Amino acid sequence: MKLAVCLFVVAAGAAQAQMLLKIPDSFSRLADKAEEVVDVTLDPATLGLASKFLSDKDSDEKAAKKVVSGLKGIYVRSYTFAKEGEYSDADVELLRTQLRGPGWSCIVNVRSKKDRENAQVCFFSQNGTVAGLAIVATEPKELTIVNIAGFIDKEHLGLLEGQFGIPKMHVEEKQKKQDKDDD
Amino acid sequence: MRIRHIPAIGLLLASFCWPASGADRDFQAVVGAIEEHLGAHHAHIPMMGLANLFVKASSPSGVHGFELATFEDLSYSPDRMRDFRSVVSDALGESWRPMVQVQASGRKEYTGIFIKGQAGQFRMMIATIEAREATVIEVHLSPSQWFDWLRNPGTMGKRAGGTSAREDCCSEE
Repeated sequence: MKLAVCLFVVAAGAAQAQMLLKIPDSFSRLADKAEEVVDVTLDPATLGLASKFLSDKDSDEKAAKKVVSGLKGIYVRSYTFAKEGEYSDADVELLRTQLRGPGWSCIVNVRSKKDRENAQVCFFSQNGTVAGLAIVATEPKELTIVNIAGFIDKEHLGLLEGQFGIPKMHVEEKQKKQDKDDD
Repeated sequence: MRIRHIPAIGLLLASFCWPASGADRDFQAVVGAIEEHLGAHHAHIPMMGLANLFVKASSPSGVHGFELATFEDLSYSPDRMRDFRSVVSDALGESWRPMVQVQASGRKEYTGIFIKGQAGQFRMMIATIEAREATVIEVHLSPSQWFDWLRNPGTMGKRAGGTSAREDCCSEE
């Protein structure tokens, strides 16, 4: 029994590590070059505070509490550069490689040749449920990484966009636009 | 007003304004650490006690109290700027959670926002350094107000830092 518990804990820890994107060490070089770096960290302790104090009486707070209570962390890192070409495809590839690992599946890939914008939305699945999310969005002068750990109802994704430090990516709109262009 | 009431009122005012109460010990620790790091004393701000009394009495926008310290006429040093984050973080200790960090190297600015929940209130510490000045603000917020800020942490960094954070990050359109 003890062995089973230990194995479960180890497996859960491994899954937790897999659903969290590791910011490559080389990104400290990008931070030095960036005009601005925004780093939002809502770790389990902060999110725990949120769900503990949010009211069940207020409808907005109740809805947010429902979303937040399943989450284990929200991490956003955004680099804004003064000019183009400050980060390379190789830098982004270091992130995308992680998203090709076990448990990850990328369901949205938006590429805009005209605006040279890319957005990749990937889900981490565990036991048949969504247990993590990652978004890597690139623009000529901007690189944004969003990583959410914890149970996420896909219906709640729209609620999270634009809140808790998660930028408005307009992924659905971009996907529809790309689908239209493809047709 | 009777003259014999004046000492009592004075004591009441002092209880609101006393700067080194247990609740703002963390604030004093941060200010002390920054003073040591920058080799400068924080500037005296007149009427701070009165302003805090007003905030405690009226709680504008869910803010129940605040502490403020500013450092002016600093000489810019890249090392001081780089180490500022760890100085603040170390002074606060692990009970404070880092929430937003905005580093604008081009503008020589850094803003760090840390949060701590305590006794039904949230305490938020905002530390900013620019080339020539630095500011530390601690605000005591109601849970609902804190939640509003939590929903827009990038905007929070922007407000605190003056001009930082992406324009489209985190704000309602």
